[in-house]
Amino acid sequence: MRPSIYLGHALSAVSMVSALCALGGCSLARDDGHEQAGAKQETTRDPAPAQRTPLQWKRYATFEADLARALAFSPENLCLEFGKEPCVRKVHLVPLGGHEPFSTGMLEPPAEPLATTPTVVDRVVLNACTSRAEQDAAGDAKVFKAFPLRGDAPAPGAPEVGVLVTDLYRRLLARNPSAEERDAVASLARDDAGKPIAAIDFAKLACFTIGTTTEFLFF
Amino acid sequence: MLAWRARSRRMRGGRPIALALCAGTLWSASTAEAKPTAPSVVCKTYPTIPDCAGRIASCTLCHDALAPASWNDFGADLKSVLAPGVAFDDALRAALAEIEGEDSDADGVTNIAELTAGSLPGDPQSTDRPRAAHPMDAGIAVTPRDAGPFPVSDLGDIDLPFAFRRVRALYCGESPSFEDMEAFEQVAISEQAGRRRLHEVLEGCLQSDYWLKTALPRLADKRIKPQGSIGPDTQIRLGPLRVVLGDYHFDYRLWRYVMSGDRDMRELLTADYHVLEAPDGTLSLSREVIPKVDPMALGGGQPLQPQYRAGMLTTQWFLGLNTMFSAMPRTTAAQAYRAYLGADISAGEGLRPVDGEPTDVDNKGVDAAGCAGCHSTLDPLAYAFMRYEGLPSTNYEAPAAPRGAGTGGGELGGFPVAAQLGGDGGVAIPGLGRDGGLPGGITIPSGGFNFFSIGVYNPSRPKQRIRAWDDGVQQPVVLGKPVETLLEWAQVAAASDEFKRNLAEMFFVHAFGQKPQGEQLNELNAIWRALPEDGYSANRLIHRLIDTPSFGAP
Repeated sequence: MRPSIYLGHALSAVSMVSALCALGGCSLARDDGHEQAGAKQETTRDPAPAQRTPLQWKRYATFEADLARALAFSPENLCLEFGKEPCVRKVHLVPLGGHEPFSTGMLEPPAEPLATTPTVVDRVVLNACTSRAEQDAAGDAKVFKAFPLRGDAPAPGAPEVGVLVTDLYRRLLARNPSAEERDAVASLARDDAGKPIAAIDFAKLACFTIGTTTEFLFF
Repeated sequence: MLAWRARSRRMRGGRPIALALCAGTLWSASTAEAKPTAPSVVCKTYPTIPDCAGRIASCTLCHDALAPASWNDFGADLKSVLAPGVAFDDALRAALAEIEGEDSDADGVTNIAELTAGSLPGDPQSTDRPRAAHPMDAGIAVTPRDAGPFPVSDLGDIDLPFAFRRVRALYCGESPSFEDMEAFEQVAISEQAGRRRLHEVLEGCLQSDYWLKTALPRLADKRIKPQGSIGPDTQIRLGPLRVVLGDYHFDYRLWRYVMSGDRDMRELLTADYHVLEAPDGTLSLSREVIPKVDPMALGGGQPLQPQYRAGMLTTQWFLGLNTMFSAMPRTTAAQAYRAYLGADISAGEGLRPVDGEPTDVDNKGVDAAGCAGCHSTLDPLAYAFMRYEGLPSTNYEAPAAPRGAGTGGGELGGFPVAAQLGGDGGVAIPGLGRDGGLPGGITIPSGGFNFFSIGVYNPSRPKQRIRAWDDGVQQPVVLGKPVETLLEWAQVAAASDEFKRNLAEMFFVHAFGQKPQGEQLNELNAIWRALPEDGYSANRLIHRLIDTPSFGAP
């Protein structure tokens, strides 16, 4: 299935480096242009452990609020399992870091992400990205406005692709992408054989790739 | 060598009080039984170590398990050098000194270094290793942000935009947007202005619905322990009666009220009021007895008179859930100790044995060798709760009070009850079971009545429930201090370092997802020690928390 293939491509191309740093609080050293006396300017990206406290897991309420705002949904409409029950606040509350004491007797949230957490996160983010892409494709685009979602995706180097990627970075990570990051996400517009994928699929993939980075899921 | 224990009695106000003159250790040919004075000895020997700041060391410092006892490497090393024939406390003090320079768990750090750093000298996985020197330790406090992950400063340096993200995510429930970040970074070009802005943002977050109605209440869950099936909204019925033990919404409102708005957190234990909430969300205080809303519910409202109230410790829900039918409210005392003073006796924490205890006044065998270690602390804690009802029980030893009109008291099927008994017929409940039920059945007047008075004050309860009870012998003690009433218990607890540290640690864990380690212990200690100066305000505490290096540095 094409989405799975491109999902794997996306993960290997962009998210894997971030995923390797998960929970370890990695920072990717970079050349930020600042002169430091006696210091060597780093140009390579070497993950390093956080010095003080590990990264905090972004739990259900903040995860839902951030994703909903980024993709122009209300939290109530972000995700409904079988169209009925809220994905985040009810069905997957515990794997997303919450707890409900009154009916379950669970008095504290899980201390760390559970074995099911990555699957649930993938599910919720992919659902949200897919819903937004399909709604935007149907008309009155709210997020994916850089180019029409009909037909093939533009070339990775096309300006409109950069605009879309930059917009997603701003919405999800509250910053601009580096050139390297932009190019990595843009490369998803082509499959392994170099052929263009559908524009709507590129939108979903780009959204999913950025929305499942360590940077979005932790703080 | 035989151990001996002597008691003396002195009269105070006509009541004898037992005092133990001394206690020793029982040595047999093959075993040594240590009394739970060991944590106190550790803290007297090393009063400034993190494990003894605002609390007492846990038994897990030396033990893997307590019943039967087993020792970790540190405990085993101590045990091996304990001098025979010497009083335990003295022998332990000497043993601690003797093995200070050793490394019992072979993790590369000496025992004394581990104790000083706050890691466990018997656990090789518990080590505080100093931060490795970084070539850019000269560091940057704040720079304009560029693209890339963690773009501003190097690891370990204060990063105000990073702290801004954290504040928003933790206390507002939403990360900052791109526009928010840009605006903040412009301000944060000046570190002073950036910090000021950070605190303004925090202050706004602490008044948000997310903090007040979602995040803050969830911090109370393991203290209140709500259960929907026996809570105010339950639809489970015993005959026509809804099985409501109490209305825990009062508990959550009190928690939310005291822990916000710069109020004094000590009122968690000392408040003589309850908090009401109007439909528009406005909160108000009530110092009245609050009747229950549903006469066909077992519990509800707040029947305890204000002069006997001690905040979260005396809500109907807390007393009903934790005391329940028991004569001696040990579970209640243990939960109060755990929830508000941070000491879980079942985990060997907070053991401060009282000489001469446990007296085993209710003949449960708690003075057995395997039990006394904890019950010498727990039972004196529980004595102060004796005059507060949980749920009535058939286990009454004294004759029931005569049937009376109004709310004075009566008897139904063997249960003393505080009830308004009508004579106008109503719903009949047949006998509900063989043991502890209502063999004679009861008739509920058509207008309803207070079948149980859960959580009321009953000055006669100790003698009613425990035949051997003696106010002169069963002396309530909390944190080593004798007290006379639960209100005094609450005052002592609220003024203690343990109370301050426990709440500070709660907010620390909320912020960082783990308990403080290494140099963070110093940060934690500084935060809770500042509480008196901050009026015991939770909000002020959080403001100090976000100024710590741990909060602002990735």
